[in-house]
Amino acid sequence: MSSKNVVVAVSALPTILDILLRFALLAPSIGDAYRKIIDALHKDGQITTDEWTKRKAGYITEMGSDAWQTDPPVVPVIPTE
Amino acid sequence: MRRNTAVMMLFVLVLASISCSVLRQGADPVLTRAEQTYDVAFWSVTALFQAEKAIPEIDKLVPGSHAAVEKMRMEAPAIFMAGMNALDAYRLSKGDKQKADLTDALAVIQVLANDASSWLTKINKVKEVK
Repeated sequence: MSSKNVVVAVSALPTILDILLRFALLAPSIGDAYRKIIDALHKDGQITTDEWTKRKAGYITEMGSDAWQTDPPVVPVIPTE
Repeated sequence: MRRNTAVMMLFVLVLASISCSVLRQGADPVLTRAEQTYDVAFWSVTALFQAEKAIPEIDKLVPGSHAAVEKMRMEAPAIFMAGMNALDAYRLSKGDKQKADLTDALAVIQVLANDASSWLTKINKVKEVK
């Protein structure tokens, strides 16, 4: 395999991965979070400051979501007479 | 089992692709890869948290999973906030110290993401059976 072919193969890798991941999206257990992983794959440069600010707000909002919360601590029941 | 392996392989391919994809001219490779790593890790951890919450009896089906995921829920916000701060600092000043701090923060994030994908694979396997 020539070095040119290797470069082409490496360049095509994100596209191949994208196709594989799109197949994975058909699985019912895979949702929005996976789509965001695919979006990350399409990046070819850093995002703008405005976009970074928006993205940070999105991360913080997600961290406040129910999925990120620990279960409430179990309060021991003290027997009363 | 076959699909379980496929999901794991996809995670490996996703992480591998981060170091292989082509950047546009003028892009800062450190910042771009840091943002990608952060994004992939954050949403992998979120996917685990969502999947774990969706099955109330998960600890019976995947022993030890609830305690492990709860521990990650306690640790993850501080780890991702530290990564966010390191990214902010590197955006402002691309010095050696900021770069080193960013690399350190991302290393911790990657460990968390690897744990998350490992548990997610086990949980997905149970969801397929159900």
